[in-house]
Amino acid sequence: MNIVMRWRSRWRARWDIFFAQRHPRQGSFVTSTRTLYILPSQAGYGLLFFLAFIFLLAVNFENSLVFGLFFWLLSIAVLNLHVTHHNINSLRVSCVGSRNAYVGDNVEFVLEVESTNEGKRHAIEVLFNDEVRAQRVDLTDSTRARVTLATPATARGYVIVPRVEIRSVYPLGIARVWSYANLTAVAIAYPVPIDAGVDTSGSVTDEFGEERESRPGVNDFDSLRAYAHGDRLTRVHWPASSRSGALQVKQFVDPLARHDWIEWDNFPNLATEARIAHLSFLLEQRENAGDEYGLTLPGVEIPSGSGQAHYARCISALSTFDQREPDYV
Amino acid sequence: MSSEAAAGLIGRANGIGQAVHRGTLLWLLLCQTLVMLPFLDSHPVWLVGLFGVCLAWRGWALRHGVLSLHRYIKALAVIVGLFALIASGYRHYDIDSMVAIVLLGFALKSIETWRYRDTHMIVFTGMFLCAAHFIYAQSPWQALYTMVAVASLLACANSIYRAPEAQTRTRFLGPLKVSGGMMALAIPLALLLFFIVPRIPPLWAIPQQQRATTGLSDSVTPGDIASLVQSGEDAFRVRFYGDMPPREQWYWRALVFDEFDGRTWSVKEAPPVVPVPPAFKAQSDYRYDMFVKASGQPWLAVLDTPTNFSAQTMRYTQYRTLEALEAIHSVSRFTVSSNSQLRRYFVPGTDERLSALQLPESGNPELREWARQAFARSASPGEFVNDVLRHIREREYFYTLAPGVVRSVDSLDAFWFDTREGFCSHYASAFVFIMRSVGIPARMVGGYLGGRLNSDEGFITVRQMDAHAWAEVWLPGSGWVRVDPTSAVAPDRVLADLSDVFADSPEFISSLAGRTYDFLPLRRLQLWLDVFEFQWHRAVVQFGENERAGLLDRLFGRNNPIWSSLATVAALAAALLLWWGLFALRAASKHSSPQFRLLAQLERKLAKQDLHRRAGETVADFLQRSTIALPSAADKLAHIAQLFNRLEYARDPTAEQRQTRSGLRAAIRSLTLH
Repeated sequence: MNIVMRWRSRWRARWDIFFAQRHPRQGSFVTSTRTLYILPSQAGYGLLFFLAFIFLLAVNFENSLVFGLFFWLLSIAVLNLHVTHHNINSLRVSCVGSRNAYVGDNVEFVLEVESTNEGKRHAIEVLFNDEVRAQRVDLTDSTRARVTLATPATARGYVIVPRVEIRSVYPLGIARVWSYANLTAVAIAYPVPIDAGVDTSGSVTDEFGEERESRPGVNDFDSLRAYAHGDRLTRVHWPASSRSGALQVKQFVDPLARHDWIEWDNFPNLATEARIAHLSFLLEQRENAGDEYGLTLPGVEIPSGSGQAHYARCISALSTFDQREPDYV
Repeated sequence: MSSEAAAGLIGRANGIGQAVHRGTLLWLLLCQTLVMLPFLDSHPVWLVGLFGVCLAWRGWALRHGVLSLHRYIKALAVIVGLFALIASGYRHYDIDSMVAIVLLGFALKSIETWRYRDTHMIVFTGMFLCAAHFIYAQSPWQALYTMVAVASLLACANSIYRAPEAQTRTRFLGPLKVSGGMMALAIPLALLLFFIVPRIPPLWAIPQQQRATTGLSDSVTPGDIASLVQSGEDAFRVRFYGDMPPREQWYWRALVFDEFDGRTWSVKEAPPVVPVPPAFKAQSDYRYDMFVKASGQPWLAVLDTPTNFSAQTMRYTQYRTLEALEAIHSVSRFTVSSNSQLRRYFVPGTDERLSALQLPESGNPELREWARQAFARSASPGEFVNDVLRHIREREYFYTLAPGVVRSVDSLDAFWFDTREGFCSHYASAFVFIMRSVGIPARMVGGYLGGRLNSDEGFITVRQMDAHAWAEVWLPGSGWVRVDPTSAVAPDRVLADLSDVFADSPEFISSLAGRTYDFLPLRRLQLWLDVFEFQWHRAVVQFGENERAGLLDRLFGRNNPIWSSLATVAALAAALLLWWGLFALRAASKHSSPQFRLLAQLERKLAKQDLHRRAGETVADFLQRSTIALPSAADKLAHIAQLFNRLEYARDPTAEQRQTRSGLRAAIRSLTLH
């Protein structure tokens, strides 16, 4: 059993390499004799089985008419290969749009199927590799049609369009012809928003409940206070100490985060993915509240704004944080 | 759930489990009906009735959205069906039982045909049943009908893949266009295969049930037949090589009725098979091909004394009749030679003589007495024969096809003295009885008389209604003499068709239901159809391995079979290559753009300088690389690269593109390399 499975996976891997070499990633893919594959379908093998019986009937009864019918049906089966192939040949497949989604949801790609020679096409099935559900395309009244295929978003960041399979068994269902299109489109999977439980806004309140603009820090001088045990001597403000008689130390503050900014650096305690999830949460919260907000990430700064497009820009930047854009985008 | 909802189920890859739409259901109904109807002739009517029931159930299920029956119910239906088949007499291993089982499955399958897979199953089974049509009938009309049935099966398969949301009309008629077109396009290949693929001999014999069809039977009881049922069906066709005997000699002998029990004449169970005297072979007057329709019987109706025939298919009996070695179940051809004079020289042996004199101990006493008195008045047996014929001719005797039943035990007495009307077997049986009762060896012969000559094509069509009975009397010195008592009462019958003899008889006309027409164009059409059917049987149905090999020999010369098959394969391969080449050429001219043809030209030029473009190398890179080898042409190459890139990548208007292209062409042409 184990050996069988190992061989099967090896066999499959070999074919995947074969197909990957024959179908390089490109913006649009046109089916051709070189890239179409054809084999009898399950029903086709059934037909061969029945044809064998008809042949036996012809031979054992030496019946010329049964021979005639047998050869005719055989010829129709052969001709069917050409018709099936012709039905799917010279089709252009391209990706004309995509819809991003949160991880766990489905990313969608809009594919366009176009007949390049204006021939009528019937019952073309378009599906993502390894998916069960196919979308049906009939090009009878128009030369192009669009279908939307979905693929699950499993991790945040760029989702490259999976291998597209186009196939058909038209007209008799006894031969299946198929091809693969490796396209260059990408969609983005958004990180799922998770509230990490740390302060939500980056603002701080003092003991009186009033919002403070700064937090203790090292940069800006703020005020003097009484010396407490453990304060560094370098911070002691000697002139003031001499005036008041008690040791006074300088107190410094750092300016607090800007109110309308969501900043990567505000959450140094969170690990990368948790921080991304939290920022996603903040983005969603701000967007839902109708606030204006900007986003800073290391190396990225998106100025303040609001609305769907702004949100998409921010969350996309967040999703693809530290990811390299695919070459062809 | 409505049927639309059912049709909307989306299933697994390639739709194997997907539900079919309403157009397909209509096609299924049509093609299944077409496939099943011809079996009404050979199989029980209830099988077709069962199909009707299944259809009714399906119609109901469709309306009420029931998608499947419980599998126990299905299993029960199959078991009940199988028992019904056994009860109908299908218990043996033969083709009829096999076909019956397939028919049962075909009918029952229709109750659960909702998905693609079921539909394919039906279509393929239907194809097998279409082939089975030809086991039972081989007429051109059957072939035409089956062709229509096959077209509907293919259309049904195609309809599965029609868009369910398409208009009903396209959904229903579109498939027919596809299937018709594919059938037409497949004809050349099918013909090629038909002619070149060698026919192998039967692998094993599948028995066919003995089914007496219309035609002659092996016993005759004239008194029991109220009226002869006339069948316009063809019995056989004959084509002579050379001379044809005169019309009055067209007595096709098939059976000799030797035994009489007072009412019924019957054929001896197993007529003794004897060898043909070798001297006969040189004595043939006529040689002819017979195309015999399926009769379920081995009898052959031949002229007079057969002298030369193939012992592999026929045997000769003591009664000078011929039999096929096996019952005839499909149209078969027999080539026979006959002689019309030899019968004189036969002298019956003791057995033959005894059986030609056999009569029951008692019965028909009046006729016996009448015969004795009449024989006493005659000078010789030959004279006596003429006296009896004269008696029939001169007294009030009538020839009719509807004589009514004679209830009396002494049926011949009743016929001879009371009713005085009857058809051929009445007269023949009375005549033979009279001869035997006075000790003259005589016997009744069954076969056919006459036939319809098609003078254009030179063949004779003999129909079942030409069936006839006459007598043979052995006279010393003359041998076996054919005596047809019917000719005494109805002399026309020998020289004309039955239909002409009975042209005014209402029974005859009604029984034939318009098979023979007075209206001239129709009669001509009938003759033409007759010719067509004859040619069909001769050229198509009888096309076996000998004909196939003969045809190829005539076309390609008589060669070693290995060579001729190799030549055939080579021819086939060449044809395929040519086809593929044409395809490739067309594809190439269609898909490659003009600049690529120019590029190919450029590459050829540079190849002479041993510069080859590597796989995946851009034209610009390649030309850049070439510049190193050809510094003198650097400018031109750079220019070409620029033009090429512009053509490929700049989205110029068409007119400008054309200009660029001609510039490129000129640049490549003017490129001279040393």
